[in-house]
Amino acid sequence: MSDIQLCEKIYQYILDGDREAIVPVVRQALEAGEEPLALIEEVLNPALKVVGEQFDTGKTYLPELIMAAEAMQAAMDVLNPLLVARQQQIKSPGRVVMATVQGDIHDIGKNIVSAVLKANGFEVLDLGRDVPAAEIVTKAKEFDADIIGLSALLSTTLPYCHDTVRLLAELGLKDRFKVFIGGGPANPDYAESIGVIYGGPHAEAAVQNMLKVMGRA
Amino acid sequence: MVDFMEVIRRTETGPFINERDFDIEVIFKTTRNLAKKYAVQFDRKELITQYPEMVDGAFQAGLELAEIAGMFCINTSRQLKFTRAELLTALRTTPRSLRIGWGKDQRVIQAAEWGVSRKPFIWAGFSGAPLTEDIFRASIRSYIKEPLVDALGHGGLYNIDGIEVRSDSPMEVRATRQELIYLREALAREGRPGMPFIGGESSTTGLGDLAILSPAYLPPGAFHFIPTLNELKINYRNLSRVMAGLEYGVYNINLVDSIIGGYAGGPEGAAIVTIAAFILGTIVCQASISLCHPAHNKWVSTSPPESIWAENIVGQAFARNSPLIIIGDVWTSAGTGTKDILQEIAAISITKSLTGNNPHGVGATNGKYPHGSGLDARWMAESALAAYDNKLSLARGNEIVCALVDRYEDKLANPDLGKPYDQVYDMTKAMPLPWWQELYDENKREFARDFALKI
Repeated sequence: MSDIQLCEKIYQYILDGDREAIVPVVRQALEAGEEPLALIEEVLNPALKVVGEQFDTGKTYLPELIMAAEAMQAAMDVLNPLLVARQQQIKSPGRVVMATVQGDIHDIGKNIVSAVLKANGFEVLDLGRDVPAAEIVTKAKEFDADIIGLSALLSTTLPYCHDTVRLLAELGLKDRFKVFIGGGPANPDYAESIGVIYGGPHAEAAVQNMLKVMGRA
Repeated sequence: MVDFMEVIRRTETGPFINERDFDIEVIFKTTRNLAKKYAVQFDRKELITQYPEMVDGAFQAGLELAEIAGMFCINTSRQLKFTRAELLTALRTTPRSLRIGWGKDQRVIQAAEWGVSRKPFIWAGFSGAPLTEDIFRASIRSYIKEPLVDALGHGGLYNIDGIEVRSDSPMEVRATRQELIYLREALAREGRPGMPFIGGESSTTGLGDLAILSPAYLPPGAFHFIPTLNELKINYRNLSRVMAGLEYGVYNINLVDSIIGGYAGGPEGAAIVTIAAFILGTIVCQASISLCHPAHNKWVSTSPPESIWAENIVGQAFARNSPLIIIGDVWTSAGTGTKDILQEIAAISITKSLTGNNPHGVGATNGKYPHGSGLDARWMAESALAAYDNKLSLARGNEIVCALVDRYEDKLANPDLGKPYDQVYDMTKAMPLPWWQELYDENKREFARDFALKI
């Protein structure tokens, strides 16, 4: 199989979200002389971006976005050690810690944002649902995040978003992270009142706004 | 017949599966295959479906999904699985008619049955929005005053005595109790003390819900929600609501908000997942009523065409195959005091009226702002009843609904949010301000003229 055919296969496996099939083909491509960084920037990232665009236009759905990101991760697990050995780095728009805040178990909105972020090349640490402010702040520091993304579906969990902002201020970390909020009851007025950025009415808007604050849009 | 203790046993003994695999391998892939197998296909030009074969296929797909997937227990990572015989027995034994409420305000709510024309049951209130005490107390009256309204469900409080209400905190208990105090005070004040109602909407984790199971707050015979989480999931908190409610004697409403674009896939998947959730909810949630809210992942409301279509499939599927009492959320992107909200309400309500979902709402601005009022509910009732009174066929109803959707679809990305309650209603009299009443009347005349309806 030629290099081009291998790259086309890798591209297609991202579109198909096939995390099993992609790994041996990535290895074959490396054995055939493909550069790891070039594979990421010229094959994997563009394919994942296409899946993100298809989601934006309603042609694919959240599971397909997640499966594509999983296939990407499977490929990256092969490629990352090689990048480290060659002292190369991926150009990512930023590092984001995502969490559905304390008291809230409705995580599908956060999952959609996380998946769209990955499709746009962000490095994402997803903390899951019902996450206390202290854990969000601790993990954001450990992950060396640029952005903290807080999701709340309920008006009665918005105060836990505020807790995170207050804790950041108390710890002198207010300016270290850009904090975004989103979800059902969140709106621009509330975001402004607690001194954070309103993500937008849906996931794609949130990711575009995050790209903007990272100077990538 | 599977009783509730058996449900609890299965949370401990059902097959173990990790959540990712349940979401992707079970829900998404099975639903996608079932949509193909049964030829369930969204059609933007036919938001009210006129193909009974597809509706029946959707029901079979939902039943098959319910059997394959069961319900996922988040706390134990186990599937609560039921045999087809258990599912069908539960459907057969779920009530098709309930006499609800008390005294002169008592009403009967019924399951829709194919070929039987029934007046829609109007379940009104400002659901979904965060309300202050002042706005809650004032606005609730505007819904109870509406004579076409049969039952009440009025949303929750987010601020008490100047303290923010936090989920899973002592303030959740306080807010939920206060909600019931205000609700029952308003029912008595407006002379409809026996009106059936849903209580506990301020309780987001179940903590507040448990705190109101007392005759002083939520009396036996009233309703509370048991949410099915996305998709086909339940947790111990919500099962605790069921347990407490069963022993106490309130009715359970299975609240299902399948996400279009989420784990279910597109509108076809959202419809199939909702059908499965309703079937499973008769056992897991011990539900007497099922609430349908297929939410678009971008626009949230139930007014986008995909959402309207999914709800139409769900309603018709049960009416034709196994009648179940269904209420459906009327959630709009626009806010009160605007023409757009009235267009959205009419499209959703006519669909519900013709497809066996009784309208429940109006949740305005996707729950983001307190921009709702009793006139929204009046229009929900009037437009739903117009479909019934004018004996609309599915075909004619579809033409009207598609025309209404054409009028607002492009605005969903940037809806007219309207105004807060205190800017559209007289706060002391609980009556619409003249300009809002005039806009309402003008819209009603236009609606009757444009679609040749007697209303």
